[in-house]
Amino acid sequence: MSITVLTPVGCIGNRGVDRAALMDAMERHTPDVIAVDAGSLDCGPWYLGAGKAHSPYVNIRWDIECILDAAIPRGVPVIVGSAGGSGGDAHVDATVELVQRVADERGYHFKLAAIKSQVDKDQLLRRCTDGVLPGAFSASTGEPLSQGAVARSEVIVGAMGVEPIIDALSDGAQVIVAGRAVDSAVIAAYPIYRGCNRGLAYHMGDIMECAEATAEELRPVLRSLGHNRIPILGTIDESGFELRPAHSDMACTPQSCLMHSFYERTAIDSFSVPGCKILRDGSRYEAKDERTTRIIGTRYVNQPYSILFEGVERLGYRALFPFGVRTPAMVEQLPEILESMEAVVHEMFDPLGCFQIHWQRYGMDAVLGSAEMNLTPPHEVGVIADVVADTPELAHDVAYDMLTRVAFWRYPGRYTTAGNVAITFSPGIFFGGPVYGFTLYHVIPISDYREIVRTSMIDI
Amino acid sequence: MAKRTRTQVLRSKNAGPFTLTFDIVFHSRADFELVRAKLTPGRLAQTFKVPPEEIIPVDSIEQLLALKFSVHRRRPSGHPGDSDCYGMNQEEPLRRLVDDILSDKDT
Repeated sequence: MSITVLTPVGCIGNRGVDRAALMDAMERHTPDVIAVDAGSLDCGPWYLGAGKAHSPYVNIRWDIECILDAAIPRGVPVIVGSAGGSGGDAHVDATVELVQRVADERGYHFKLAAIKSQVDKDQLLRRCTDGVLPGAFSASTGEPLSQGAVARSEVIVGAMGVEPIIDALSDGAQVIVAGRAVDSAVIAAYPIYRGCNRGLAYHMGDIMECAEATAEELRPVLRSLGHNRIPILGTIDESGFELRPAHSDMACTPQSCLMHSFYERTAIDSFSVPGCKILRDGSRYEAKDERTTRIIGTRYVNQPYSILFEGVERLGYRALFPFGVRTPAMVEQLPEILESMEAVVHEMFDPLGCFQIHWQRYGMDAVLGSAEMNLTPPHEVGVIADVVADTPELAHDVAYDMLTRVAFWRYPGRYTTAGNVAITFSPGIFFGGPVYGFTLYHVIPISDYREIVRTSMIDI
Repeated sequence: MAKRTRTQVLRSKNAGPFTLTFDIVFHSRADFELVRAKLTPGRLAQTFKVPPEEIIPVDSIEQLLALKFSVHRRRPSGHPGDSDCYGMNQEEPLRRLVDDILSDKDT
């Protein structure tokens, strides 16, 4: 027995799938399932907090249309994980609505399962004792999870494994829109549902989840395509799995697949998913032909069931302004000038509420911060003055005060007495809206995943 | 002429919101071995100007001639004051260190 999974894009809504490559792959390789991740945490905490997608609607719609057009007429099931980018309830609802709209327009009918994994913080707070949640630990530092971090959170999601997706498949869902999910689980779910080995299926999902990012170009093709995501096909059998891209000018090589095992993680030989640990130390990557790699030898061990939770809190509201500095005397003294100015502004505005000021000094140290090693004064600096305050009004007023203050700051040796800096725009101040920060990135032991997920079946 | 590197790949990226991870892929086994021997946590801490305990030490993939290590972020991704939300452009201090080692400028 073998199962073929097609992953059309690395993330729904990021530039979009090449429609011709997708349809061609459906005909040639007749995949058993289309499985795709829509999520990313890389774009920061805002999207989870605000309940918004990070990708443009028009691009998300493109991918959803292509996927449904490829799958529904052929009766192939579809699994979308971390719907809407962050996989919160608002993101799942928006994705279901879009699927509904596209299906209505095309006259498609199917059974849809919406699986939500956003949890009410009270559910976690009830488990806290002595100020911590017992057994929970940070996925990055191993530190315990404080009750305070849970209490401050505005939105919390749990990254589901394959189990709730398999439940939905068993219940006859043809399209599954899942909230926050482990990337690899989205792809592994169908093969495991059909009896494939968990270690191999999760490993296959782990490599495939970024679609063509795991393949290399035999000649440059992607940069000239508008919708330039190329599907990857993964075929899994009893002893291993094979990966190939759905484009004749691209190849999955042992090197490109192995390189992707590296991607965005700290450990090389293993990774944990809910209920088990995937061991890649014995995995072997072999070229089957010039465009296909076969991977064998991956194992897994069962572990007590746990789920990675992500949570965010609202830290305040942002106002910012950019400005440029071209006067050598000011460029040289800029760090001291900004520091002195900040002290005055705090003295003036602290009675009105809490706020923090950050300077991004492009041309000096904005990108690397304290790790910057080139301290030669540049000829020009671009600065972003960033204010995060309790209210949008306070953020604006602090920012505007600083705008005029930096323009007329009397620093030693100043000769630009009509104004010091180039203010880029009118209006000078930009509102950034609510600002969020991460509170949870913690693994929490869970006795039953059904405590976390809620599935609803919808007839489309 | 912009500075190139003597490596094949040298990159940074978030590994979750609290960690930056760095990957280096070399052109030759000699380069790989030379750099692997010198990338101690102390040395990396000095390069990134952080305490040594902030470094998650170097691991390697022999088949790829690749090294990886990670650093705890000074600020979490996308928090106020962070300037590289995706962590995609933090590699330059490492590029300089690795190229110094490979061009024998490093002792």
